[in-house]
Order: sequence, then C-alpha cells, then structure tokens
Amino acid sequence: MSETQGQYQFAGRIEGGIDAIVVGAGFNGLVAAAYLGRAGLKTILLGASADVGGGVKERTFASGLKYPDGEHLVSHLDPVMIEDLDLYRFGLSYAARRLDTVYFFEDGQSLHLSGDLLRAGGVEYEDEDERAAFAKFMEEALEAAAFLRPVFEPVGGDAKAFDKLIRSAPAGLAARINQYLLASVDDVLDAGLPSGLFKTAMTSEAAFRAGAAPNEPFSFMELLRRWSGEVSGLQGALAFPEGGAPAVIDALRRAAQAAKVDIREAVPVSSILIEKDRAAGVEFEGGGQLRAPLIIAACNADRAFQRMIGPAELDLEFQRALLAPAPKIAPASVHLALSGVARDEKTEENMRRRLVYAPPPAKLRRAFAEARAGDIPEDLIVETIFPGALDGGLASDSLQTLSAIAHPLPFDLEADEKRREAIQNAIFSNLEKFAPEITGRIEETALRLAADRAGEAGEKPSVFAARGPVIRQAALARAAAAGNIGGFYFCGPEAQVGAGLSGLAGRIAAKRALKESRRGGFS
Amino acid sequence: MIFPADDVIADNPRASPLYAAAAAANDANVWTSVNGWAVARVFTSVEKEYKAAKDGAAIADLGPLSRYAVRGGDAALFLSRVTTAPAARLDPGDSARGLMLDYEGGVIDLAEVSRLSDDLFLLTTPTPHARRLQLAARGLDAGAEDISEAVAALGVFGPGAGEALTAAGMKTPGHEVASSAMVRGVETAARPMQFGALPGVELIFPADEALTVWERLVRRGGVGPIGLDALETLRIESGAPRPGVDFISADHARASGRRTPAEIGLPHLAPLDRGWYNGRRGLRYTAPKPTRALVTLLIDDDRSAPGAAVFSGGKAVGRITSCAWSPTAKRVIAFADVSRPIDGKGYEISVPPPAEGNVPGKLFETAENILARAYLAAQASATDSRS
Amino acid sequence: MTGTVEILIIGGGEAAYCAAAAAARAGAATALVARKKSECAPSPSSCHVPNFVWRRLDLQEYGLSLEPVSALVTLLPNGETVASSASARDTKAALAETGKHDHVVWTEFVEDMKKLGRDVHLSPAVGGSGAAKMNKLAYLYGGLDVLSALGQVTGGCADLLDDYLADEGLKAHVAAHALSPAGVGASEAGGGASLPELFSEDAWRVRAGKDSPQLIKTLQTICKDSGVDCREDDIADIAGESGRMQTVTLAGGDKLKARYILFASPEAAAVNGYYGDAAPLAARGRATAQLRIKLKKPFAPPVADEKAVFQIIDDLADLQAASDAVADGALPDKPPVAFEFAENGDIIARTSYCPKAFREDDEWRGWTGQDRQAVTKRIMDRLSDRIDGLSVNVRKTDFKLYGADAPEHDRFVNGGENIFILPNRHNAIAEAVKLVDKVLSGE
Repeated sequence: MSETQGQYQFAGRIEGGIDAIVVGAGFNGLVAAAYLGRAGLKTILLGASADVGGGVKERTFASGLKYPDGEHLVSHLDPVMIEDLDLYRFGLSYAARRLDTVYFFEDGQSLHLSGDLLRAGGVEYEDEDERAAFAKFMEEALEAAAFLRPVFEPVGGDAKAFDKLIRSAPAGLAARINQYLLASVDDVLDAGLPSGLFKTAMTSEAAFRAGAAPNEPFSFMELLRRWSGEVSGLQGALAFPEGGAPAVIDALRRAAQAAKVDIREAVPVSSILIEKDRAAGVEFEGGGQLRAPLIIAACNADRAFQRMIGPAELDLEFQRALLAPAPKIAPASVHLALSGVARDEKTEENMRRRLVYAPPPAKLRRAFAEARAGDIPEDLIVETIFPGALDGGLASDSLQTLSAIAHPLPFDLEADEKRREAIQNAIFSNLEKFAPEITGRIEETALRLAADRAGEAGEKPSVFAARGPVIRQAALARAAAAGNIGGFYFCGPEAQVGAGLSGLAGRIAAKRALKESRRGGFS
Repeated sequence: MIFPADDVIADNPRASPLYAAAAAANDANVWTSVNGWAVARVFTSVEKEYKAAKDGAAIADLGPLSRYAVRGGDAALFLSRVTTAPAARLDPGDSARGLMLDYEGGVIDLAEVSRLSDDLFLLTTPTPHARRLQLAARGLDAGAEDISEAVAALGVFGPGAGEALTAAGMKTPGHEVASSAMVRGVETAARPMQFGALPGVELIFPADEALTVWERLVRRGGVGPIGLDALETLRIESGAPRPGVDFISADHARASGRRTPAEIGLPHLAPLDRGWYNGRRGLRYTAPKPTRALVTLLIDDDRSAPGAAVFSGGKAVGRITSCAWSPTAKRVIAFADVSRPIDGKGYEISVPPPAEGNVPGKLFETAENILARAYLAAQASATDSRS
Repeated sequence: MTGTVEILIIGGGEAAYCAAAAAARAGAATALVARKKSECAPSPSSCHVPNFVWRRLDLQEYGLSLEPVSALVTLLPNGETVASSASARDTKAALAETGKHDHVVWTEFVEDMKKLGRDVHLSPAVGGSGAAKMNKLAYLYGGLDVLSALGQVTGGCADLLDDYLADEGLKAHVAAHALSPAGVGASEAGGGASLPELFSEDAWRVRAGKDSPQLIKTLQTICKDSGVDCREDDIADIAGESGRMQTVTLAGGDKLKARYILFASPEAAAVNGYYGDAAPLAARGRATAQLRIKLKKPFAPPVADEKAVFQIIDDLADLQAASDAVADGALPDKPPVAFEFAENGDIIARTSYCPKAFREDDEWRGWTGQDRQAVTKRIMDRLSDRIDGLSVNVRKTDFKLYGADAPEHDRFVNGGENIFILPNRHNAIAEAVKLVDKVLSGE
C-alpha cells in the first residue's frame, strides 16, 4: 500500500482547496489533467491502479526482454493536443512515422502499399486497370475521410456549422458520402474495387478491430474513420513512437507533472459527490473525500455514471442512451519473442513495415459469424509489427520481438487454459500463412485477451470489446457529452469514436471544463 | 387525480370492474373512453351531479387511471427519480403530488405518490407509464407493479364524503392518512385526495369486490355517481390542467408543444430546491425561460369551444384548451394556453360563426394559482436573501 | 420503339404498380417495366394500402375490398405459439393471458417504435438530394432523444428488443416478423431499423376480401387506365450519367428515356444489376424460395386462422445463424420459414434465407436441382415439425426460386441523384408513393 493510498482511506478526512479532479489515469485522463494543470488549475489526477496509462505499458517476458503492451501503433494522436501540451518537448518522438503496409494473402501473394496513403494508389501493379481503380478509390475515400473528420469528434458540436459544412461539399463528394453513410464495406468495395488483391486488402483494413462484419450496413464508415486521423501531418498514417505506445504515456505524464498536476495512484474512487445538481467532489472507499468544483471522469461510462454517480442521480433518457450493448467480438493481441530471425536485408526491411494477413473476404465474413457465435474462427486478420526492428531501444541481440493484433475473435468473459490455447493456435496458424515456420522460433509468448485487460483494470470486459458501427459510436459519444451535471465532464472510452490512442476526448472535456470555470460556473 | 384526455380512437372500450354498477345508474347514457376504459360522461345531468359533489358527496369510478404498487429497497429513491414528488420524505400515510418530467424538464404527466407502509408505495398517474418505470428501475432495487387491471378504484368527493363513508360503514383512517386495511372483509387501500378544492377519499380494492363496495356506498351512504363532464367543471374551477388536453405530454409533443411545469401553472410541483428528480437539471440549466402560460378565464359567452383563438391587444396570443359551464359562476370557465407575459386585464376570445366576433374573457384565480403564487414568492424571497 | 418519360418504375410488386399509378395520376409521363417472372415472391397477403393512396387511386371504384390479416403468429418449438394483432391493446391483453410479463410494456413498445420511425429516417431513398441528403449526419447534432434513436436503429434488432422485452419467445416472434422478409439476422447492424418499419401505421398486411379482385390485378388495371406505359420485359441496359436523363434499353430492343428511375424493391434493383441507396434491410446476395403446398384435405392452423401470417423459428439465434450461412454461400440448416394460406387453401411457405449462389471449396456455383430439393426438404421439415399430420396430407408441392438470377457484378447507385431504390419492406406502398411524390416535386 502506497503512502498516498493510506492518506485517503480513512473515513472522515476531507481535503479541499482543489480546483479540479480527474478520475481515471488512462490516456484521456492524463490529457485532461495536463490541460487543466497548464491552465493554472490546481488539479489532482486519481488513478485506480498502481500505474498510469490504462493498460498501455511496458511489460517484460520471463527472460527479461521488454515489450510495449496496450496499443502497438498510433494513428489518431490529436495534433492539437500534441502542440498544446508540447509533447515533443516532453519526450514524444517517433521511431517510425509512416509505416508502409505489406498485405499477405492466402495464395502467397503480397501487396506493398506506401505509408503515405495519398501515394498508395501509385503502387506498382501488374494490372493497370485494377491499379487505376484502386488509385481512384483511395483518392475518393481519403477526401471523404478528411471531410468527415468533425463527424468523428466526440462533441455535441453545432448543428448550424455542420449544416454549412455539408452544404459546402462539392456535389461529387456529397454524393459519395451519401453512398458511404449507410453502406457496408462490401457495398462500396464491390463497386469501386471489383476484384483482386486490392479488394481483399481493403476489406481486411476496414474490418480490422471492427464490431461488424464487412457485409453489415454502416461498416464502411469505419475505414473512413481510420483514415480521418493524422500523424505528423500525414493523413491516415501509422507511426511507431520511440519506446512504443507506453512512451507516449510517459511523455504525457511528464507534461502533466510539469503542469503541476498532482498524480495519485492506487486510490480507487468509490463515488462522485453531486450536490445541488453540481459535481462537488469524490469519495474514496474508506470514506475520505476530495472536494473540487470540477470533475472529469476518464473511466468507462458504466463505472462513471452507473457506479460512481449512481442511477438515482441520472436522467433516465441519458442513462438509456449511454448504455448500449457492445458487439460480442473482440480483438486479441499476442506478443512473441522469436529466436533465429534471419538478418538479411530483405527481412530487416520487411520487419520495419506493418505486416497484415488479409484473409479472403468470404472467409472473413465467416470469421465474423463464427466469432459472434462464440467460436474461434479459422481465418483472422493479423496485424503484425516488430517493435525491436522499428526501435533500436527495444531490440535485443538474441531475440526479436513481435507484436500482433488478431481480429475477429469471440468476446469471452473468461477464457480457460484450453480456450486460450485454441485462440493462440488460431493466431499462430494465420501468422504462419505469411511467416512460415514462425512457430518453431517462438521462445516466449504473451497472449492478451479483452478479458485479461478487463481483469487487470477491474472493468467489465465489454469495455474492451470491439465497437459497434461508427455512426452508432458517434451517437453514443455525443450522448455521453450531453449529461448536464454542472461541473462534471466525461472523457472515457465511450466518448471516443474508434479504438486507439487519440486524446481528443480528454482535450475536449478539459476545454469545456475550463470554459465553465472561467465563466464562473453555472449560476 | 385528474383524468387524461379522452382516447382519440375509442373503439370498443373495456368495461372497468365498476362498469356494471355505473351503467345501471346511468340514465343519460353518454359515454367516452379514457385509457381504453369506458367512462360515463353524464349519469343524470351535469348540473345535478356538480351540485351534489359541491354540497354533499359524489362517487366516481377512478378505474381508468394507472396505478402502480412500488416496492423494493430503493422504492423511495425510484419514485423520487421518476416523479417530482418528494417520495423519500414521505412517512407512511403521507401522500404527495408531483409531475413526471423528461430530461429537458418537459412535463410528461401528473403523478401522485402515497406511502402506504415502510416498504410499499402507491403511484397513481393519469396515463400508463410502464416503459418509463421500467427504465427508471434500471440499476435500482425497486420495481413498479401495474395493479390497474387487478383493482377497482372509487373516488368519494365533496364535503359530505366523510359522512357518506361513515354511513356506509366504511370509515377508515384513509380520511386523514393513506393506509391499507380490511374494511368489511375487503382488503382496501384508502387515501385522502383532493379534487381541486374538493376534499375526497380514494378507495382501492380488489376488482372482485367492486360492485359490493359501490352498492354499499350508494345504498347506505346515499351518494350518487358523478360523470366526467361534471368533474370537468370542478377541475377547471380548481385550476388543475388535464394531460393531453391543456398540455401535451413531452413524450408526444413537438418542440413547440412542450411545456415546463411553470408553463402549465404548476411550478410548485417541481421545486428546484428539493431533492433530485428526473429533469431537474434540465429545468435548471437547459430549459428555456417560460414563454407560455396556462391561464383560467371566465368567459361571458356560452359558445366558446376548445380551439378558439385568444387575443390580447388585438393580437392572437393563444387558444382555449378546455372549457366547461360553471353553474356557480354562471359563465363558461376555460383554460387557455397563451404567450407570456400574462395580460392581467384579460383577453378576448373568438366566437365561432355565424355570430362572428370576440367576447371578453376575465382571469380568475384558482386554488392551484394560489399555491403557485405562494411558491414563486418564497422562491423570490429566497433569492433576495441570498444576494 | 422509343419513348421519353418523367419517371420509370422498375419492378412487379404491388408497390411498383401503386407508385406508377400515383405518378401517372399526378400528371407525370410514367412507364413501368416488370419482368415476366416477378423478382418478388408473390404472397396471399400484401402490404397495407394507406388511406391517402386509396383516395389517390380511387380503389373503391374497382370493387376492391381489403381486409387486414387476422394476426401475426410465430410457431416456436414444443408447441409454444406467440401471436400479435393489429391492435396493440388486444395484443397486450392476449400476452397477459398467456402469462407473458412483457404485456405491461407492449403498447408503449409499439408506440415507441412508431416514434422511432418518425425521429430517425435512415432510408436514403427519401430525404432530399445532393448535399441535403447528407442531413442524415445532422442526426448527430440532435438532442439526446435523437442520438438515442440513432443508436437504436443502427444497432441490431436483438439489442433493441432486449431493451424493452424479456420474454425470449416474444422477442423471437417480433424479430421473425420484422427481419425474415429481408433475410436478415437479429444481431446484424441496422436490424433495429426493421422494428419501426414493422410497427408503422402503414405496415399491417392485408388480403383481398371475399369476392374482391386481387390488389395487384386492380392496380394493373388502374395503371392502364391512368395511361402508364406498362411493359413486361427485362432490362438489358441502363445508361446515362448520374443526374441526367437515363436511357433504358429493354431486352426486347425498345429504348426508354427517363428522367427518374425508381426500383420498387431491393430485389427489383438486384435482378437488374443495381444495389445501394437502400436501407439496412436491403440485404444483398440473397434469394427467396417459395413452396406452394397443395393439400389432400384442408386443415386449420394450430392457432389463429387462415388469414394470419405465420413464422416458424426456434429462437432469436436462428435468424442470425441462417443469415450467416447465407452470407457464407450455404443453405441454413434451419431456415426461418414464413407461411400463409392461399384463397384455395394451399399453403404458401417461403424462406428469404437462401443464398444467391453457393460457395463450395472457395468456388461459387449456381443453384442445382439438388439445392432446390434440399430447400424444399428443409421447408417441409420445419412445417411438419409444427403442424401435426402435414407430411401425410401433402398432395403436391411446387417450388419457385426468386432473386437467384441476379447478375454477379452490379452497380452501386451513386448517391441517388436520379435513380432510387425503395428499401422498405413492411410499409412499401406508403413509402413508394411518398417517394414518387418527393421525386416529382423535386425535393
């Protein structure tokens, strides 16, 4: 038990003189706290577990080899947040900024696309018609993705400004977006990329980590969301931070500390105090209290609203809008330490890319159906990177680390040893499809399922399940922002559209809180 | 408790447990349908029934209203959430009126909460709200059981209500406090109720016993039934707005039709300084300033009808929402939904053809107005003392 | 022969003829092209004809009388049945009688579903054109109720049912009737949108009354009387830029120029090589199998009467399993089956859970005689399981397949500038006529 924890666990202790409290020390919590701290507010960040980052952290294999866990690439880091918080000064840097992707297919073919998506259409390809169709598809999709960026933001926004925006769209773009809005991945790709490897690659790209199969309505928007992000000014790019995603957490932590945020770990909050329709502070399990006029919750909605605030204080309509069931599908990640990896130039080059196994669309559709039914699919999309190859700091002389995310897998509340082994074997067999004999080189394995992350964070596993259709997520995110408890703001996972590290939700919650505090609060 | 609007489509209304008795006593045979139940509008004559209730006592079948038995560890919390009635502060035997609000503070319905015992509450609403109650119970240890179909309910109104009950041998503590007891071998819940300014008692008992209880009250208590039309006059006199008529439930209303408690003259039923309820934050933070008002008017013309335009200073400011002939005032009394500010001098009401033109309508004060005014005055002085 | 029309309706169902007649009566030069063999499985009941359509087309002058189907019934395993009727109140009472606790929320559930349809209208066929059509995104800027509604219609049907109901049988009943016409699963995204459609005012199915002509025949007559250029032909080609006059070449060689083209159903679009611009229930790559069963001696259904619409499923999961199998190019083991009684007592059974083509060893292949036999058997198995003595009472069965002849590569309707696909299933006639009005008024 840490010292800070001891301080807060005994009943009756009430601490005041605080301007703001951020509950939850995950990515968005850190962002929100750093913003508040920089604005001069005396801010306390409360983490439920012993370390910040919400599961994004460096871990070690039994041999002592380190690997970054949580997210393995970044694509949506909010550029405004990076600049506002001066994250580069606090140590954020990229070991690789625009990872090329190599897609591997069932029949042994592969396709290498530039990490600069705007140039991906210029790929060398034998069939010029197919390549031209792909180039056109990329151009159109990227234009739509950039245009739709405000739609994927987790704020209520302004209907009038939005109306103006959609009216400003050129006719061709407007027609395309209409087409994309309700369409499935299959709908759009059947029309734009009638056949070939491009279609298979893009189907997997769109379905990766999605809650819906590529033949389900609304599923295409997920691809546009993916490509609406930017990394160092490059739309839709993927980057590997130096030190991996945990290093981004470290940079944020330093930024928050520099902003005089008081970070307290392992102090689980039991409830948020509401007095006179305003947030008034938080209470700990032992009965101690921290009082502050601004509270930002960066934990999941179920915990923040149902457990910390309590249903009796929630508007029924709000409670209902917020708690939508999650799809019964989740991704899983696996970290491997490999020995005897070839050191030739071609292998080394490939290991600095993002490698994706893209199953045939028909098999992928079946995989989604199986996963939803609770079965472990034979075919999986596997996204693989080699942290050690991308970042010298994570390399070891003898072993090579591999980090893979596989999708779609059934969403298990609990997985016993047998089940874990089956999942692991399914991932391995798909890895083998493009990296033959890889299983023979595995020295160490760490499989991480949604249930593992949930168990560690003390959350419901559904928090770590794949997310529903983008349009539904956007509706949910906006609903989550609509709670009207004075001085209370929410930037948990439900406030974000799509998976991955972004920080946008944290920034927006903090900005709204600051605006209110400057206005002197609700009257 | 107020009846909601008549059903728009009234095909084949159901017979309440008291229907047989009511039908037998019904000479006028004018019926309507409320919540799908058959309800008598007139039994003998509106004026006669009105007078009986005003001077003596009258009984009405309150079966068409929706009733819920609320139980569970969080029952009080549940009711405090779903209605504005201060359920958590009620002691056994207490009753309180309230409103059901949506999250933006729009009025959905009226509500009455009675605490029959430590762990049993009775919730009465004009229209059914099973879904809302289902949602409200999420995350709480409480449940609302719809007992509307299983029970019969009788209202005994008027200054002579107590006497009539005594004469019928049915006097219960329910005159003063809400309670449940065995009365003549019948398990009965009784609670005091106000119908506008009229005192009364509501008796709730198993549907099987409906006719026995009615007969006993009519024969021994000497009271006659009162129909919806006479109740309507009493209602408007007392200033109680009727859901679906004087205001549209926020569940169904378009944006322009939504009303806050203040806009239907019931700000005192949703006070901001009492415990939390659904919609309070909406009222406090996001609800716009009241722009409409529900006023009660005395009109010097007996042709006025709901829907008639209401003018102030030559400008159309609203419309009549409901009206009735008041034998006491010898005039038409009406509710009008008008824009704010309220014109203290009164309004003009359009008269339907052939006699085109306008007639004056004068504001009159009701029991409800007085409560609202007292509440607003208390609010104002509280604000003054704070600043 | 060539001709130029304002609007060309493609499709052969009731909604197509209603739309054509309404357009012609509104003064537009109208043509209708229906295939010789309809792409939609004809059924003894048809979609509700709303009053405004009835008045527009003066249907009473043609001696037509329609009566609502008596009930929607679902035959569950072990003799369990669930029925609902047009009146929410009656259904509530019936549910209470069978001890289903959900009766307490039934009427409000139905009301809420109707409201949901008014709050959020996702069908892209309706709602302006060009940039204005993107106003579907404007729902994201709506209030909590609109956001909540948007979440519901974009989610699965099962999620929305779970939110209201607890009884598994009742949920299966509602989902079967809502989803099975489109061949969709209960967990699929967008399935939630089927419920507001099913409970809309214009959805309760009707049958021709005694001595009344069939609705479709009457509508065909009205079309002719109103000057609709009706043709029975296949479409060979549609050419023209988006937003411009379209030139339609018919298989017979005739050419038609049309300013607007309206496919009257997703099926009508699919068999002509078009898709898209349709709501979630326009599932692609599906076919419908229909079995007409002539009986040796007439029999009464186990519940309700001959004028009801029946569904057979085991549970909610059945729908998803069947839909998944179809998406995978296989025949479901237990296809959900719908059946009705024809005027002459025949049973018309149908399942929309058939693949357009089969996938075997990663190769696609068309339907074979064996496949037809396999579907027939599965439909018969399902019926026999629920109806005592059916198997020995069958005189003859007649199998027909619809929608399996759609071309492999199809065209995605581009934002719907002037080609529309009517996506609605349950309230098709009302939506078709409303859409025609919108198109012709240039909205």
